[in-house]
Amino acid sequence: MHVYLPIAELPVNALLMLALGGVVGFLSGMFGVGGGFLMTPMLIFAGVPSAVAVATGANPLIASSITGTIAQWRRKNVDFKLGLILLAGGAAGALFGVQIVKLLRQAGQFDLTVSLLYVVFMSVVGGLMFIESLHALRKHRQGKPVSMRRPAQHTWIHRLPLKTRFKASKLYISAIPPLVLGVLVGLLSGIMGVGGGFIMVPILIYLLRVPTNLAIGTSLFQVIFVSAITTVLQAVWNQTVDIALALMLMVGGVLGAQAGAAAGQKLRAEQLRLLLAILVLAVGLRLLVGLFAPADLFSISRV
Amino acid sequence: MRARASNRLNAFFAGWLALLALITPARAEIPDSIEAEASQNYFYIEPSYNGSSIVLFGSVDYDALKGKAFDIAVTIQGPVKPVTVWKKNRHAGLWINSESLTFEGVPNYYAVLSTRPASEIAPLAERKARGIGLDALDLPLKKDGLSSQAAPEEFQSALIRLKQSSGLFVEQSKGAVEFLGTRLFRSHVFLPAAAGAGLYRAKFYILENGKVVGETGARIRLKMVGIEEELSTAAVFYPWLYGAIAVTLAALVGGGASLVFRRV
Repeated sequence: MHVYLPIAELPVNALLMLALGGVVGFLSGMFGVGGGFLMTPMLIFAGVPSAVAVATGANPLIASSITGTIAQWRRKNVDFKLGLILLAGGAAGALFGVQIVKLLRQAGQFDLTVSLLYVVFMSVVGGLMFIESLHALRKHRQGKPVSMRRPAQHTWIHRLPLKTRFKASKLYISAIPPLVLGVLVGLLSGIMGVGGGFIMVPILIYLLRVPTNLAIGTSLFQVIFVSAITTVLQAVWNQTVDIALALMLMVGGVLGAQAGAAAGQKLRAEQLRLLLAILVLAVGLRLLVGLFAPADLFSISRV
Repeated sequence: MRARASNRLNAFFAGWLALLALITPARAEIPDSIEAEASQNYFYIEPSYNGSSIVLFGSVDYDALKGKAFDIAVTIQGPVKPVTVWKKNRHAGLWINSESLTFEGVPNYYAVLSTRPASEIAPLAERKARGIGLDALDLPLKKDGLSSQAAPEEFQSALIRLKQSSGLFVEQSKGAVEFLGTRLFRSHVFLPAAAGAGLYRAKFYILENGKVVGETGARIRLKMVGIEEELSTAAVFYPWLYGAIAVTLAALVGGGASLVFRRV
């Protein structure tokens, strides 16, 4: 069954798009990350023009992160104060990110930039997660308790000014790192069409020492707003948001998220993280191949 | 929906007839040596749209051509838009878009259908004047559209090759123009969905000894209707509203799912 996309101006297989949304939703339900980092490259592989894929990628994230946030909020896993600071930075970052997309498209370097960013982030995040989950699995086998949170250390982050108390996370840290993190993730959201959870969650956990559950819930909370801002900005400045495509992805996404959440409770967390790490590395590798051995030296873009 | 579409169709046809009465069509060199039309002049893009099948048909003046060898060529092209072709070069191991050429007007779809291969029916110069054949396409360059010292020919052939591989440029001769008896001929074109909405012009040529001796044309319009039209219009003319709708829709789907799957 095909559906003609009014903005991308091509037909796509509706079942394929529902399935793609479903797979991404499944992962987000299971791991608590938005899954946008997989959505955009998959859309590009499926033949959707990169500008439409990036602009539309953020839209279904609103739906899945709302569902996720509500679920986490019921378990009191959202630090709203921390979320608002991340969000303030995120809004500013998204504003720049979407502008950068416009400039890059004019210069013909958009696809390259997106691929490069993906390759860099996916290999770093995928690699770290891979090592961490292997480590956790080994610990588990030795019968030691598994914890994603390392013992508190005092680093340069704890010497910054503007110290603020985050009650929910039981933290007393400077407001600057979360703000900077927000800007960084907002930028990526604008350029790559991702929610940024896959970068934000590890940084919150490992660098800012936020408890894992709160890191996931808080990240989801700020993703709602950053992806909403990104969607509106993409619609206004680039006019490449395809609502028809987004609708299929988000319907698949919320259904997949339910299945993922259910599956996530049955499976072991370290094994799940290992699987996710392998998936992330595989997508990154596929993009890397394209950078060093392009299928064609020439490409066409509409002016 | 269907009734509305057919009313619109009638209105369009009435408009066309009025227009045809006002303007005299360009006369062929030999009047009425070829007459042709498309099976349908309007096609509509609905959510289930997946390309259009167009039959182009016509007749030749059998008495004038009796005993002579002649060829028929049909071209169809549209919608014309500016296009930039990028060339990647290797920088520190990475392939980066570094040279580009902008063409002022490239048809998003172009097909040439002829009784024999386009290159055999007439010399290049004769075909270039009318754009018969992929090698005869006139693709004007944009002023200052060329970066660095790249050769335009290289970019043009890359453009044609890429368009051909995505099925948007087509050159066909075997069985492409089918004669039904001595006068009537018929050609079948499948317009892929990616060809996009807009105006398409079909041209019909009759060639004798490598010279065009008669020509006529037809127009085909591919138009978005219903939800497709509303969305594509809103995206361009009311982008803030469009963005707000996209966000609201996602919020409803997300919120709705939370209500439905309460226990999770």
